[in-house]
Amino acid sequence: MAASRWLGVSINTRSSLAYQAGLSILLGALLLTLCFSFYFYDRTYREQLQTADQQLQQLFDTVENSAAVAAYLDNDEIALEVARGLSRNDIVSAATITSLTGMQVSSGTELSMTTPGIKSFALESPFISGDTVGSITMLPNHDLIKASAQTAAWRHVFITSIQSLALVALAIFLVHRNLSAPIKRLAGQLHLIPPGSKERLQCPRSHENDEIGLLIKDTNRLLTATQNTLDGERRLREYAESLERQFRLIFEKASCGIALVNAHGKILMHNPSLEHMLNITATQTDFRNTPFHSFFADPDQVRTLLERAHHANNPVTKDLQLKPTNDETRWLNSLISKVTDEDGEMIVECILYDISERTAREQQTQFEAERDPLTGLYNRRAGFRKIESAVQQAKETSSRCAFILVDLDKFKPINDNHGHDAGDLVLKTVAHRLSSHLRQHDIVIRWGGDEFLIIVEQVNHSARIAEKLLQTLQDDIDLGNGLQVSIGASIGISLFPDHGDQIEDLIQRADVAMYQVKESGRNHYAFYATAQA
Amino acid sequence: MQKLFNIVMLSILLLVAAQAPAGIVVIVNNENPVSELSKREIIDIYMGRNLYFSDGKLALRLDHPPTSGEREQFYQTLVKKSVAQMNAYWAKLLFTGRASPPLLMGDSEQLLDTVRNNRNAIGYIEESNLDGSVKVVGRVD
Repeated sequence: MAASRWLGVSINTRSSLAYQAGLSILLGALLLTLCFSFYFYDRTYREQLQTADQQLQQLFDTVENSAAVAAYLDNDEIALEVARGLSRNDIVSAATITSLTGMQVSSGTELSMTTPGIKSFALESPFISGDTVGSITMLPNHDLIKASAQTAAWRHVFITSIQSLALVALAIFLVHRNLSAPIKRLAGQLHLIPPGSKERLQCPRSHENDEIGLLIKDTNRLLTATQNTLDGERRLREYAESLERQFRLIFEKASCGIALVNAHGKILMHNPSLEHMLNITATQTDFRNTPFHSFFADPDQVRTLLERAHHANNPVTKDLQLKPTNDETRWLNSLISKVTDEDGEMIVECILYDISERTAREQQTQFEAERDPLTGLYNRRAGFRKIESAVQQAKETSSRCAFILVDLDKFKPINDNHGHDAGDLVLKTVAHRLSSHLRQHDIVIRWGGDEFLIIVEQVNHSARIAEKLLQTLQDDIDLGNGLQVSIGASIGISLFPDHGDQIEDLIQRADVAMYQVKESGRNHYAFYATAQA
Repeated sequence: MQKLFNIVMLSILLLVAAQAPAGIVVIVNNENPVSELSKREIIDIYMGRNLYFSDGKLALRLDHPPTSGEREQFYQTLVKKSVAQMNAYWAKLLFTGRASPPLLMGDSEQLLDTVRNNRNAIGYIEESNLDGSVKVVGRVD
C-alpha cells in the first residue's frame, strides 16, 4: 500500500484529503454523467422520433400527388413505384398504399392498421378536395432511430465524461494545492515542534485571511498555552523535587532520631539517626517488629506517653531512659506529637534527642556541688538538705532515724607527722570504709575536717552499725612506702524523734554523746542520754 | 328624358349580359339512355377513373384543342386545374398504359358532330352552341 511520507508524518494515500475529495467528486461526476446521459438518451430518442415523424411527413408531402392519383385510379403500378420509393428511405422500413376502392400495394412488410408504430396519411382525391380516396401507411425504422439516438447519447456521455474527468482533475489539483498541501505542511511542522517549545507554526502569506490562517493562529495559541502550562508544571516539579531533596536531607542527616509509630507501637518509618540512637545494628533487621516502647528502660511509661500523645492536641515532651546496654545508661529527650496519615490512621511522630551527655554533665555538676571533692561524700551544705528531706519523710511516715556522728581519733598526728597527703589518703580510706558498710539509702556526710555524720533509717540497728563502723575504722591504713597507721573513732548517736525533732538539736546531741565517748576513753560509741542534758 | 333613361338602362343590361360567362354543358348522343350525370360522375369519367356509362358501354370522351376557351373553362370549373396541369396528369399516367386522355377534337363543330353520330360519345360545349341534336346530361358552372 502506497503511503506518502513527509518529515516523519505518514499518511495513507487513500485517507488523504485530496484523494477523498477527488474520489467524492469523481463518484458524483460519474453519477451525474450517468443521470444526464439517461436523460439525454431519452430526450434524443424522442427528438429522433419526432424528426422521423417530420421526415415521414415530408416524404408523404413529396409523394402525395402521385399516391393520390394512384389511389384515385386504383393504379397499382404507380402505387408500387411510390411505395418502393418510400421504403428506399432509411427511416422507412415498410410502406403500403391502399385505396378505398380496394387497391392495396406494399413495399417491404405488409402493413395493416393494427401494426404498432405505423404512421398513416390520408390521400385526398386529386380532383375533389376533401374527398378521401385512400391512405399511405409507413412503418418508421425504429432500429435506425434508436441506434441514432444511442450514438448521439454515447457521444454525449463521452464528451460529458471527458469534461467531468478534466473537472475532477482540476478539483483534485485545487484541493491538493489550496487545502491538502498546506495542511500537510502544517501537520509536518506541528509534528516537529516538541510540546512546550518556543517554536510556532509559520502562516504562509497566501493563507493569512482564510480558514487555514485561522487554524494556524488557533494552533499557535494552543501551543503557547501548552508551553505555559508545561513551563509552570516543570517549575512546580523542580520546586517539589528540590523540596523533597531538602526534606530528605533533613530527615536523613538530622542529628535527632525521627520515627513514625502507629497505635500498636510499630515503627512505620524512621531515619538513620534513630537506628543509631536505639543501638540498632545493621544485622538487627527485625527491629521493625519490635515495639517502640520496648527499647526503653520503662516500657510502660513510654506506652502511656504514646497513648497520651494520641489524645493530646499538643506535643508531649519527656526525657526517657533507654534500656541499658553494656552498663551504659542513655537518656533521650522525646518530643511526641500526633499526626494523621492519608488513610486517616492516627500515628505519632517521635523526635528523639540524645541527651545522655547533658544528663551526665548535669549529674556531674550536681555531684560536684553536693559532694566533698576529697572523699566523694555529701558536703555539709548538701548533706544538711538531705537530712532535711530524710527527716521530713520520717515525719510523714511516722518512722524514726538515727544521727550517727563519727569523729576520728588520732588523726591530727598523722597530718602533722606524715603530711597532708597522708591525711587525705586516710580520709579517703575512711570515707570508703564507711560507705561500703552502709546501705544505699543511708546518708553519709563529711561534716567537718575529720568528722562524719551518718543518717540511717534502721534505728534499731544503729548500735550494731556503730560497732561495725568502729571495727572497720580500727583496721590499719596503708600509706605506702611500707608505712601503716592505725586510727580509731568516737561515735555519738542521737535519735529522731526520741532526742528531738530539730535537726540542729539532734546533731548537737549526737555531738554531746560523741564528746562523752572521747572523754571516757575513745574508740567507742554512745547514745545521747536524756539525763545528760 | 324618358328616352335617355331607357337608353342607359338598356346599355347596362347589355353590358351585364356580355360580362356573364357562357355556361358549359356536358352532352351525349340522343340515343344514350343516360339522362343526367352528377358532377362527380362527370369528373370520374373525364379523369379516367370510370370509363363506362351506367348501361355498361365504354364512354368515348372527347376533348377540345388545348388552346380552346372551352377546354380551359371546363377543367378549371370542374376540377380547378389548368390545362397544363391536366396535361401533366395524363403524361404521368401515359407510361402505365392503363389510362388514356380523352380523344382530341379539332374544334367545337367536330366535337358536336362526333357526339351526334356516336352513341357512346361524351363531350362538352358552350351552352350557346347547343342546337338540339345532342342530349345535355349535366352543367358545369
